[in-house]
Amino acid sequence: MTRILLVEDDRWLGETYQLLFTKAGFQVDWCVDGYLAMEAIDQQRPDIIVLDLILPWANGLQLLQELMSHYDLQSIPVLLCSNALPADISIKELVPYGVVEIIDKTATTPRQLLRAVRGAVHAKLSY
Amino acid sequence: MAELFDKFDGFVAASHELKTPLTLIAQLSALLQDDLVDLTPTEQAQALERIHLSAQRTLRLVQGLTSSYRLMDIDQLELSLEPLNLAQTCEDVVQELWPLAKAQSQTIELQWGSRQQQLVVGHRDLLRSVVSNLVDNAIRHNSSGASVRLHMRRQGAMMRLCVKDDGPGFSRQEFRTIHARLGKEVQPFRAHPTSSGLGLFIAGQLATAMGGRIGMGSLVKGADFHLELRHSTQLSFLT
Repeated sequence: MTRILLVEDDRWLGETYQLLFTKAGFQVDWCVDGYLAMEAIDQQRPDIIVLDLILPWANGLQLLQELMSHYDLQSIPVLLCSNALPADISIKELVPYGVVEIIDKTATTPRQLLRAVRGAVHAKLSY
Repeated sequence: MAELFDKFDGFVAASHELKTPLTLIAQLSALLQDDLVDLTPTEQAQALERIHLSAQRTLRLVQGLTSSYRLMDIDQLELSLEPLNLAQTCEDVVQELWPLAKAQSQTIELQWGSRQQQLVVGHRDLLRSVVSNLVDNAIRHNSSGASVRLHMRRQGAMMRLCVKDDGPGFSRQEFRTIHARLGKEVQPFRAHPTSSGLGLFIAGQLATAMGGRIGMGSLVKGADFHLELRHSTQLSFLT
């Protein structure tokens, strides 16, 4: 079963995404901050990471840098999600960090999010 | 120009603060409408409850913002202040926010007995808004299954209402920064990035308008915010 690491600090939104992914057939590990996410990755390597940009203690960009510093983690695809995306954020700059898609939570439906996750998983398997 | 920037910062902070509950409402309602995944009746009921509670929270924020904005044009002397029962206001707010706490497996404890010496000088709507902001913040940042505790004590001419939670609290540096700037400007909290600090900013503005203030105490664990208002003896003999 494909394992998703969901990193989302909002409790109810995290539970909503966990429910969505679980019902769609994924195995979901959910963490609320960047440090806990690194611990979870150490324990069980995910197939894909759905990462909130703004997190407590260690934010999404810090976690991306941490992933980049570990050779064996660089191939994990990351969907970067936020409801406060900086206007100048670009996928081009983030591709080297494993980001395959940037998702604006305010403008993305659960169906679109699920499609993006499935697309990233499919691309990884094809690769 | 500086005022314009201040207004813009407030606008951005308000937008950010409102985005969180609105995003949840949008996601949950889309999930309910779509046949994407099968939800059990319990899951559907929980989703509806969270939509309702998030909508109420959004409305509380908007009402607080409106009150805060109106106060910019009102001299404090024009504000109609009266003796109010702080304990009763807290009980009303707790009753309103109880479903929110319950949905997060939390409890709210009112830690006081006699209602004597609990009259404060304030404005009914503003007082309710301040208490509501403090309790709402505590619930949002509290750990699941924990409790929010309210207690009050007399401090000279002032009455202090403390609202404590068992959430992640603040680092020493954050505590110093927030303590120094509390209520004076909107500030993001690193430990609570979904919060722009707007709720506390509004609470501070409204407390000041009533001749009081908000502050924070240090806890090893969790957060401890308080509201201080002038104690009223005017109607004490009637309670």
